[in-house]
Amino acid sequence: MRTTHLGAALAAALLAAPAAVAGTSVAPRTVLPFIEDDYPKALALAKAAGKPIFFEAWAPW
Amino acid sequence: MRAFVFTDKALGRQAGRFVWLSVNTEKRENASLLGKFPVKVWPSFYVIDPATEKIVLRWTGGATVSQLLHVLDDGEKAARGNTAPGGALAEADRLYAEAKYAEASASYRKALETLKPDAPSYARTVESLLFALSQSGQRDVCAVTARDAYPNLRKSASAANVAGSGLDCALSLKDDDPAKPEMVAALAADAREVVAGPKTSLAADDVSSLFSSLADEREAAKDAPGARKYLEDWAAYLEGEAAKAKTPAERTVFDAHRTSVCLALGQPERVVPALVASEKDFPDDYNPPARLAVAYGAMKKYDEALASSDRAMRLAYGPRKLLVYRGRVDLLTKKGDAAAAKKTLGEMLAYAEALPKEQVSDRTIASIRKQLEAAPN
Repeated sequence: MRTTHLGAALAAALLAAPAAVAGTSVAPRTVLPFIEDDYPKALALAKAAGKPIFFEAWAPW
Repeated sequence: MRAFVFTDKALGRQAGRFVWLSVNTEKRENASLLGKFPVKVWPSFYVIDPATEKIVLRWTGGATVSQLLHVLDDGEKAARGNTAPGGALAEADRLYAEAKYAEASASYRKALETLKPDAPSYARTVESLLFALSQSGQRDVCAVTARDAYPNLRKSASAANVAGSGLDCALSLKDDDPAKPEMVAALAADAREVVAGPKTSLAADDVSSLFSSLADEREAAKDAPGARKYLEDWAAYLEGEAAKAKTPAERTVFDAHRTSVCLALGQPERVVPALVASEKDFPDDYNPPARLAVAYGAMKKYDEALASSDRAMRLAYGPRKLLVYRGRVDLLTKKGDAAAAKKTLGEMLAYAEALPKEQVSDRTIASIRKQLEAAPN
């Protein structure tokens, strides 16, 4: 939830960004049917199904 | 999150409630989407109403399964325009989604006045309020809010984040603030309680950050041995969690913080075997060689460091590749190769200028240019 509190030099050395331990560039097997990197497709499906979109923004680190 | 939370079977039952979209913010083709939905914290989770294409609920940073379930409940309600459990909370969520943190914090505080501590939205509201207060510079209110809410949340998944966020806010108060010593002491005690207790229901990144905050607190108290003790405990916690990982993907999520804590301890060699294993398991991931470059650099093994940096550079893409460039400039400077450092800075500037504007700030480009102009030949 919060940004990791580290010294500036350390953060620069870290090569990790603000938030979390829990990020990986590896896509593990998710139990949720995520659409990858295709907002127009998600939007069309959401409109058709009358459901909201759950949007996960991540980065490989 | 990706390795632990989204793989939890308890979430599978939620599949039909939303259309699930995952966006890698590093990819060039996603840059224009970031103009529409800016991302400043990773990971970030938004619930978007498809009719208006507006964010109706936002959660930043990691979450446990139980926290995420509350976010899904409240997000679904918000998308349907159902403002229960109270107008103030819905208003706060809307403002928070727009990154209007000062206004959002006022609405969250209003919502908290009517929310009982056992209400489903209580913990999420406190966490969002603390983030909004911290982002809007209201460090004093942040510390007081965390101190007062912690007793209600000490046994919840939010305990680590509330104690840690509060402690960070308290530590950042001015030294002449008369409330500072008492706030720091109270929140450090809460944080110590969390790290001493059972941690299985807590998000690993929250716990990890808490050790970091406790080390900062000891450092601020000029207690070097105390600070080192927390760094040691932090390293042991991360190594223990990594040892429990069931898959390489679960283990490698701890690499970033393990690297930073080993560097802080002055023991960069301690993390090298883990990073070598990660590079072997994930040969397409730039992170393990990028971290190895940092670790070898700290060990003054510049040839190994530069070879690792080369491997990372071949794999990296998007705005984070700038960090690989930056690391390389540092290595070359420390090695005493000013000409190569300057050449790399030039390449870094060209790379930054070619990134889509949504993925790099003018400030970043200006700072690289300034560094290049000041670099010795």
